[in-house]
Amino acid sequence: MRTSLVFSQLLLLIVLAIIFIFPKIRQKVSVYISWKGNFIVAGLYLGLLIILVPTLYMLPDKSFVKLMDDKDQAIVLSQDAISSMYQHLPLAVNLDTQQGIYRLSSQTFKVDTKQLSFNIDGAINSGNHQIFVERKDVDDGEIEVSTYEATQLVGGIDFTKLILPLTVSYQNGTLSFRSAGRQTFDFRQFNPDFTVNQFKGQTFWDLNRGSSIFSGQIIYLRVPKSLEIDQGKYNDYIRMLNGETP
Amino acid sequence: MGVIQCEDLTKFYGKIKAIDHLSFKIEENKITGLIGRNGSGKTTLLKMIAGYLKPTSGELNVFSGKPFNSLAVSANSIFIDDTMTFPDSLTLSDILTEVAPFYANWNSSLANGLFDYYSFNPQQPHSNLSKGTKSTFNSILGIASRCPLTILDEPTTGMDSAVRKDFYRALLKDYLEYPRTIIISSHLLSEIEELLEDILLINQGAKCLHLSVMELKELAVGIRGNAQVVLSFVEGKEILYQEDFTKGSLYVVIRRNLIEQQFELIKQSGLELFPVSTDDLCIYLTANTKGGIGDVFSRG
Amino acid sequence: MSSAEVNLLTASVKQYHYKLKAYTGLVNRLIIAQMLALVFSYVGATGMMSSGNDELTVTVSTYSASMVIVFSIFWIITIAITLTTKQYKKIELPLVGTRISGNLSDVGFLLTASVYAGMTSSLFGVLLRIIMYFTSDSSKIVFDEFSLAFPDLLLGMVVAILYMALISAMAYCTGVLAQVNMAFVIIIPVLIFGSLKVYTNFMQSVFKFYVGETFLPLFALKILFTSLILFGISLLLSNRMEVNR
Repeated sequence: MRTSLVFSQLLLLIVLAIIFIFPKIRQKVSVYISWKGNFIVAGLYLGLLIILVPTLYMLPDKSFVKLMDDKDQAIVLSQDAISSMYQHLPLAVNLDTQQGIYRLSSQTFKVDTKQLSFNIDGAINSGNHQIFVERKDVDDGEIEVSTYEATQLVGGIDFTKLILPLTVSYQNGTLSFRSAGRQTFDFRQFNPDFTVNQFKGQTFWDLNRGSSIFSGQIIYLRVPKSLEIDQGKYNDYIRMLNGETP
Repeated sequence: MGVIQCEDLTKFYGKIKAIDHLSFKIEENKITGLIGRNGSGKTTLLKMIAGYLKPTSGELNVFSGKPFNSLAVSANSIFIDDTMTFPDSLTLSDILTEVAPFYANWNSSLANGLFDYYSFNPQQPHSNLSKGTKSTFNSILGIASRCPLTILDEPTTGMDSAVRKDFYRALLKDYLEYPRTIIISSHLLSEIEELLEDILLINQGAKCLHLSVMELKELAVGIRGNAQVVLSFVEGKEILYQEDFTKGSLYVVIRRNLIEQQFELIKQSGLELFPVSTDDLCIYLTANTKGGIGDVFSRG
Repeated sequence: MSSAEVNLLTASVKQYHYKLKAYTGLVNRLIIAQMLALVFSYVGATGMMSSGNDELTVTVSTYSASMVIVFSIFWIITIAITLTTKQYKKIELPLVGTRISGNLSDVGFLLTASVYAGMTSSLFGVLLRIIMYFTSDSSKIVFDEFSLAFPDLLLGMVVAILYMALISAMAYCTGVLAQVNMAFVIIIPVLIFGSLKVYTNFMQSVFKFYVGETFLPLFALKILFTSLILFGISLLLSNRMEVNR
């Protein structure tokens, strides 16, 4: 807030300087442009700017980010889905078809021991993520690991699909989760000029566009029926579905 | 019917009186010289006639209407002086073509002829001109616009004598071809008296004289000779100018009509009679003291 | 001797044509101001939203060409005030006309300048988008406002032109007042800032009267009406003034 104030004052100063100093410089240099020259300059300038309009519309559509049409509903749906996972055990919804939730990754590991233990990287030990474990009806010797992400929004931009999933590996009965590293997203959004905003029901003093929604990833494990699970120190992060208590 | 009629005209700048109860009348199609010392109110008077300034009191009629901020007066008059400004984005030749549509009688062949004669650079902006060339250029506008009322305020400022003579000739020639009312203010009366028909002499905002050039030439006479003899003739009469020479010699200027009957007597007394130039006479008439600058040095 | 008959409108139109040629050089200053504003708009986003947790940082920079419009408004303010100065008024003197025709031609010029500045500054939104398209990864660009809708572009132009007209009328009136009496140069800012402090609510409602209007025809009406009044005041004030003193 303060820097923007300083910035705008600086701008004003520069503008004033240009307005007052420039004509003086021009007088010193005494470059006189006749009215015809000025007319041509003015005409060309306007003409060039006008030509830009069709140019803009002809720009090929690359992979632009598109704003969510109905972000409020997406948020509601994803929140509902998550809370249902906490409340209604076992899982009542199919995460793959649930609106507001995206699958980031899916892996399958062959079980090599009778017990499953976990190792979660220190960098992600922040309570952001939840691990849900569901027992399958059969002992097929496979652990299915899927990572999901509920809708992530910043100012209407849905960047859920851009998020890198946690790296999952399995070795000697231990399922390890590692962070994909710190991720930074930098989006560029255009705002209509204040002249247009005024008639779009938005005035230039209130420009905040909705809130940000962040949530962690959901790791969904499907394990063989008789696999023993050792939650170890990760008691808080691992939730057993099927009403089972470890 | 006079083009300019002025009755008891007064103009104040704040508390300073610039024009003081001035009354005169200028007839149509005459060239009048407005003569006066520096600060006598010439420019103020001309700007009131042109409609730039508003009279404080009194009547001023130009083309039988009040000139201040009047479209009719503006359309039928042009005011030329050395402070005229033109935008830098217009070259000299642009100015001639752009100003032309404003004036109904504009003679562009005359304007271009004069422009070429003085060999101006058509691509130059007006503000770059020297004082003299600026005046020359402005005078082209004054002549070519052929306004029914052409006001030239010190039109020859900065011009060299060759250009001044050309200007006077051009003005006179075009006037003869296309008569109009012209007012020229100047302090170089000797140069323009050939051109003028009338002279309006003002001093400190008030009218001093308004008569024809012929009358002005005959108005006064100078007498030189032995101081006592000269004084015996002019005793008790209004002396316009008096100058002491060495060896008791004296020169006085006096109105001709006061002394005309005594011309023969004066000549017999060994005194010399001189005609007084209009230029000098105007200086004498508008002097604050009778002695002139010589008095400052001869004191004490 | 023929006496030239001129009517006020003809004289004003002639003066307008003359001034259009005389003042075209002022466009250069507009171009510089707009270019400068473009640089600022490109470098400094008008809005920045940054969120994140310890694994994620998301920054959304918001861009718009509003700054270009604001700079163009500064330009038209200086133009309007400059036109009222003695130096510029002197340009009228060699021309046939009165104070009224001089003012009318000034108004005509200012409206032309408003149209030009309003159009060009609104088109800068397009330029900014094109520059952004080529200079940054398009997967970072949010499409929704990038694809500037053509009706919005036209709307922006019309509104910008109207704002320019209003502000030029304000500046012109201020300039004329300053010519009437230099004291106004101090009085007007004191009055504005004083009433901003003291009558905050009133000033806000005055502000919202224009900025808060969301119905275009009504907005246009408000602007035209106000500008007309302001130009009218300027005309009446300067009609009694002497020139070239």
